[in-house]
Amino acid sequence: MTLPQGSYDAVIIGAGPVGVTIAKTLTDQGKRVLLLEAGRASGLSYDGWLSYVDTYRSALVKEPNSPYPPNANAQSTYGQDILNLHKRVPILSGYQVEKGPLAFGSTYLRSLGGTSLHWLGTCPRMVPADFRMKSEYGVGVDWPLTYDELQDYYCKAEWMLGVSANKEEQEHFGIWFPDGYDYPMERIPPSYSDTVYAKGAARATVRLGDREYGMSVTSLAQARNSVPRAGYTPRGAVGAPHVGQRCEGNASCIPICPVQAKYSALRTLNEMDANFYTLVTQAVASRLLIGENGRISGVEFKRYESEGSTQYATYTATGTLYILAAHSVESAKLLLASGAANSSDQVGRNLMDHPFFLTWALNPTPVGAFRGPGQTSEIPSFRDGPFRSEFAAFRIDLGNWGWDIATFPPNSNVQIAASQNVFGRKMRQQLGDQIPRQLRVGYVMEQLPEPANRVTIDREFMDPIGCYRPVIHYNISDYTREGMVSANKISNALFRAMGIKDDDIFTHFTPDSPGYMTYRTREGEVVPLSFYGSGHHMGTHRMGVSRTDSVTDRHSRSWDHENLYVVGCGSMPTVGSANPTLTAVALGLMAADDMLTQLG
Amino acid sequence: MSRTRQPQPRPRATSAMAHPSHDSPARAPRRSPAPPSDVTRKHFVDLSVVLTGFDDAELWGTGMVEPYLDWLRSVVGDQRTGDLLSAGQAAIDAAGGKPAVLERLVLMDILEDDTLGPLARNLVVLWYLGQWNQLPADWRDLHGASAIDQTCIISPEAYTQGLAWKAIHAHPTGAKMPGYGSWALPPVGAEGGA
Repeated sequence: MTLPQGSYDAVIIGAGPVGVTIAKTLTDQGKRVLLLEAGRASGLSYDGWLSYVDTYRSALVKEPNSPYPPNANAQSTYGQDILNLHKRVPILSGYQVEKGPLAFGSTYLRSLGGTSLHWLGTCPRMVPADFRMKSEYGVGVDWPLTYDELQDYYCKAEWMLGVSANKEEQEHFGIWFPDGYDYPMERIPPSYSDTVYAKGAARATVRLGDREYGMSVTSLAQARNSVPRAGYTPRGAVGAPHVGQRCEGNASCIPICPVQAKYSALRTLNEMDANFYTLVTQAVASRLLIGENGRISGVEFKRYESEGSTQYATYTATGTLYILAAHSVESAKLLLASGAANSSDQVGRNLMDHPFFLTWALNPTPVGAFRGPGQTSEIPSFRDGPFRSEFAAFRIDLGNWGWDIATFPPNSNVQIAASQNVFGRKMRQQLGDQIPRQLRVGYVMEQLPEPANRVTIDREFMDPIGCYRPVIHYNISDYTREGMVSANKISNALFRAMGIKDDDIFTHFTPDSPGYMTYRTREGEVVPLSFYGSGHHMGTHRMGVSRTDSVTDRHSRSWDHENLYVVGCGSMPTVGSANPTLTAVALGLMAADDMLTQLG
Repeated sequence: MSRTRQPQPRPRATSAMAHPSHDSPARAPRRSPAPPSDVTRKHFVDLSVVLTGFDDAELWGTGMVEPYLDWLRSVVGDQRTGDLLSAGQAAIDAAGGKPAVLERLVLMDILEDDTLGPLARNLVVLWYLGQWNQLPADWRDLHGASAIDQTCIISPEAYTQGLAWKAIHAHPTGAKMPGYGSWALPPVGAEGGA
C-alpha cells in the first residue's frame, strides 16, 4: 500500500480531469505532488478496463455509472436512485440525499479518473457573453475574468484533452481563436443523421417573442480521437496504446468507450513523470486542517482496505499548497465539513446543472440510429441573443442513438412487443422499420445561480466510514422553464421543416416522465415539461471579484486560505450552455500558473 | 406539450423496469445440466427460428444456442423445456411448411397457453436482448420458483449477440464496432444506403 512520503509541494484531492491536469502541470515543472483519490484504480490496467466493459454489457440498465462497480466507501449515485423519483422527495435511497423540490437528476463517479470515465467528451467553448451575464442581460453575475483572458488556457486545454474540431465551425457568437491556432485533431465526421437535420434546419424558422429566428447545424467539438493535425500524436488506451487511436464507432461513449478513444483523466495520469508524484487511492479526504494565519496545515484522510470492508485508517497529508479537485459536490462537502473557505457563505450554494430537455420524432426514412458517437453535430443558434434577459440560452444536441433515454430502445420496444405476443418475422420487421428512423434532439439548458439550490451536510446522513453524504436542494426557475417552452417550439419548427408529420412527433411529458414538472407560461397556459440531468454539477464554490460573494478569486485561490485552491466545475459563476469540462480544465490550468508562482 | 399520444403503450412494469439494479441480480452458479441430445438441440433451434424470425444459420452463428438452451433447462427444468419444444414440433408438423399457418399455431398453442406462453415470450426477449425476465409470480406459484429465475442479462456475450441490433441494422452499443467514420455513410434503407 502506497502512503504519503514526507511533505509535498502540492497535495491534490481528487484525480479527475482537473486534478490530474494540475498535477501534470506541476510535475512537469519538477514540483512534488501527492494525489489523493477516494475511489479505486481499476481503470489503470487495460484488463481492468475490459472488466468495466463486461460489467457494462451485463448491466440491465446501461446508465452512466453502470460499468463501474459500486463502492460503499466512496459511493456514487446511480441513475435509478434518482430517475423519476421527483414525486417522492426527499429521496434517501441513493448516495446523494435529494431534498427537492425537484430531484437533481445527475450523477458523478468517484473512481480514479473521476467522471471523465463516463462523460460524453463534448468540448464547446463558452461564448464571450457567458462571462458577463449581469452586464449584458441583467441576470446572474459577471465572472472575474473574460473570454479573452481565458483564451490561452482554452487552447492549452484543447490540446490537453485531445479535442477534435475545425475552428472555423466553432466561431459562434464571438468565440475566436488566435492566429495560427487550430484544434489538435480534425473534426469527427458528422453522422448521416446530421445531414438530414441540416437540410431541415436550413429551411426552419421560428418566432420567439417579437423576433424570427433561423438555425443551422455545425459539427461539435469533442475530446475523441480523429485524424491528427501536425504536431499532435493521438493517445490510445492506457496499457494498450495501439488501441483507440481513432474513434471506432462503439456508440457507447456514455457510459464507457471500450477502446479509450475518448479522453479520460487516466490518460494524463499515465503521462506524468513517476519521479515527481505519489498516488494514493482508496483515500477519502475527510477534513482540511486549518493552521495559523488561516493557512491550511494538512488534509486528514481515511484510507479503507477494500470496498467490501468498513475498516479504515486515518492519516494526515501535508504540503505547501492544497488543491481541492474532488468534484463540485464533494469539494463543497469537504469545505463545509472542515468549516473552511466559507466566510462568504457561498460554499455549496448556486448549484447548477444543464437541465437536459428532450424532444423526439420519427423521420420518414431511416437515419441510421445507434451509429457513431452520441452526438457529432449541434445547432448553436440559441447559445446567445437578446432573449437571455428573458429566458435561458441553450445548445441543441442532435443525438445519434435514436430515442435513447427518452424511451430506451431497443429494449423497451422488444419488451412491449413481446408482452403483446409479437414474435418472429413481425418482431424483426417492426423493430427494423421504426428504430432506424428515430430522431432525438437534446436541449442543453442554461440555469442561473440561485443561493437556495445548494449542497449541504447533515450528521443524519453519513456514509459507512463516517464521511458526510451530500444533501441536495434543487429547483428549476421560470427562466429555464420558459427556455424549455421556446425549445419545444424550435423543435416543432425543425421537425416540420424536415418533412415530419405532426403524427410522427412523439414528444410528450406525463407525470411518469423523469423530471416531470409543470409551468405556467406568460400567456397563462399551464404546460407539462420534463428534464434529465446533464451530469454538469457547477457553481458550488464560485470564483468572483469580491470575497463577500464568492469562494475564490479568479485563480481559484480561496479568499480565506492563501494556500488553498478549489478547482473544477464548481468554480463557474454562471454556466451558459457549454458542457463545462473544457472550461473547468482551462480554469485549472490558469490556477496552476498561479500555484507555480506561489511555489517559486 | 406538443403531443399526448404515445407510439406504443407504456412498458409493462416488469420487475426489471420497476427495480432496475446496477449490480445485476446474483447470477448464482448454474446447475450444469447434462448436455442436451442432438434432437433437443434441433427442436430448440426449430422453435427459436419461429419465435425470432431469424433462420437457423443466423441463430447458430450467434454462438448462443447452447447457452440459451442450458439457461432454459436450468431455470425451468428438463420436463418443462421438453413440453415447450414438443409443442413447437407439433405446430411445425401441423403447419405443413406454411409459415403463416405455423405462426398462427405457435400463437394459439404456445404463446396464448398459460403454462408455455411465459416461457416462449421469455425466449423471444432472451434472443433479442440477451435478457431473461423473471417468470410471472402466478406462473412461479403454480410451477415452482427457481432461485436463478431472476431478471438479468445472462452474460456479456448474450448482450452482444442480441438479435435486436441486427433487426435495426446497427451493432450492440459497446461491441462489434463498425469503425472510424462508418456513421457518416447512408444507413440501410436510406437513399444511397445498402
